[in-house]
Amino acid sequence: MSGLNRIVIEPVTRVEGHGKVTILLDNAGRVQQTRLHIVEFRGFERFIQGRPYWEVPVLVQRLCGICPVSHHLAAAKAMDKVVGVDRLTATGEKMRRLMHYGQVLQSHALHFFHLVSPDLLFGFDADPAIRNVVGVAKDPRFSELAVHGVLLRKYGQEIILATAGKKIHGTGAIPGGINKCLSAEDQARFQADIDQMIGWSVDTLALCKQYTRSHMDELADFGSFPSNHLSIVRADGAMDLYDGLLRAIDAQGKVIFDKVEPEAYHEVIREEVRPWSYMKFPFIRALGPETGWYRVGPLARLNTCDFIDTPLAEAERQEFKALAGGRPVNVTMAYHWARLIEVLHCTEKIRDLLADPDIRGTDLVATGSRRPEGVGILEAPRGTLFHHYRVNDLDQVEMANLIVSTTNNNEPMNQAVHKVAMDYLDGKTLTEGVLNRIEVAIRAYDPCLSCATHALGRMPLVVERRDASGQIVDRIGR
Amino acid sequence: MFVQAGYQFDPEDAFLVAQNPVVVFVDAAAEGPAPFFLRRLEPARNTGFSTHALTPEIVLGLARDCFGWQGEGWVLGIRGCSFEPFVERLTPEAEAHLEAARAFLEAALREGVLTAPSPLPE
Repeated sequence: MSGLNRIVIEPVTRVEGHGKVTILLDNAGRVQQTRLHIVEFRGFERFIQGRPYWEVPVLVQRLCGICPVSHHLAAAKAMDKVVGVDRLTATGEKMRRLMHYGQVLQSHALHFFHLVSPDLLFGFDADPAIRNVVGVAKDPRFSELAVHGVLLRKYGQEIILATAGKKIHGTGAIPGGINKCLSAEDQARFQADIDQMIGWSVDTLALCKQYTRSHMDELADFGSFPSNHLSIVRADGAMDLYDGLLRAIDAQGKVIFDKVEPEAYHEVIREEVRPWSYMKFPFIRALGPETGWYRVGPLARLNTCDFIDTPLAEAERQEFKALAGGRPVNVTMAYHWARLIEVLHCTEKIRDLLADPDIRGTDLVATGSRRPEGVGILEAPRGTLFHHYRVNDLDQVEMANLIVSTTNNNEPMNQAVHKVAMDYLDGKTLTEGVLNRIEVAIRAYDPCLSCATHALGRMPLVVERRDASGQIVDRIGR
Repeated sequence: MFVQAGYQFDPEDAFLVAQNPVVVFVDAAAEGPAPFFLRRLEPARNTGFSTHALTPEIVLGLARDCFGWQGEGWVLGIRGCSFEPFVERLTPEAEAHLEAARAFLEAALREGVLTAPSPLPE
């Protein structure tokens, strides 16, 4: 690497977890290589080997304090198969769905209001001292938005508490079902507030749409590229965040595969290991690693589904798809718009579930005959989440494979970093605004970097550019 | 008085803070004086690099800026002695520290006055 300068951004800020970006420049300041490194090691597939299968939905969610519900439910879905249950009771399924929609709501709200809104409201070049959620809250123009963000997140967290028993690392889902129904008190208090939550979701979506449309000249190409998209969809083509069949489309909308059962995921998906990252690089098997990588998450889900089964969100989906004339939207920054359509969808779904008598039912658990293997797939806030387990005759987990949402977006995030580096850094002066643009492109994916290990303290961000001899050429700190 | 135990700080904890004039964050401390210390907190003007890393000061800052909270924030750090990952019991020393901190906080709350003990008890 002699003759090259290295820029390191560590940690990447306002994402969930700890990541690092390195950019290699030649002596003329031209970008030679970019990489998003995931520097945390998860290892949960190994930790849970030998544990009894019924512990897994509670154990495995410990890999994260931000999206534990998604892992809790994906593991429970896999263990449903292990205990021979293909269909939950009505109350079991609806309680799990309520938990899941609460999770997606709170996660998306946290991401948009707390991590992303400062970039959109103050601009990518704004002073980092105010470009944060406290800055948003203190600005009279946006303080109401910040309050709505906190309270939307709180509502989702309260739903999780009521369905899972705890806001973080709950125990509600068990193999074959759920361990309680919704109490009458919880049902009443959630119903009292749900129309307000729908209203705030509509308002926030309107703000994001207005921002995106008014900045489309810059955003359309910002970190953007054509890509494949993958998610589960319901058998009739509807968006379904909790259950469905795998579908992948290409950048023009052509179907690559469709109606693939979760158990057959390994027939269509492969994972590549690269030595510089703990995070694997999944790809569509039929296309290979070079062209088979794909995006997951809100943007992909809006692109892959045929419709949304709640009226307000469906109207918004149609408006969103019109951005690209009905074809897949490949604008990276449109992730935020898509994410807020999902917030609206979740609030509508929560309203419907709260009005459903089954949510108070007493038939909680289904039973069946033990099987040696189970796969559970759902759409976590950040994208498609795969849990696959094999269980031996002693009821111990023998094999576990997890493909977490952010892993699916590994190559797209690297592509986004490279695109922004080429557009804004190549041959140009290193500035704080340029560095933030790289982070903005990563934030669009809302990566969750499997972190719970940095729970206290603030890590300073210092970026140094060194020449080939190791001398500091340029230094920017926050 | 309201007590909540949590796995980590979340932004919505600001709403809870805003309902209370005095907030005390209690946690084990890896460093600092034994058996415990009490320190006044100021609301933060900034945030950490991730929501995984919210500090008590950030939660207070959100409570002030989102909900107009004007109360007092304190941290009560109870000095731990051993943080071995596979041992769940407290050491006898840590048990004593916990008891001293509990007695101090109970008396302070009963009297309605929270001030750092001076000199710090040994």
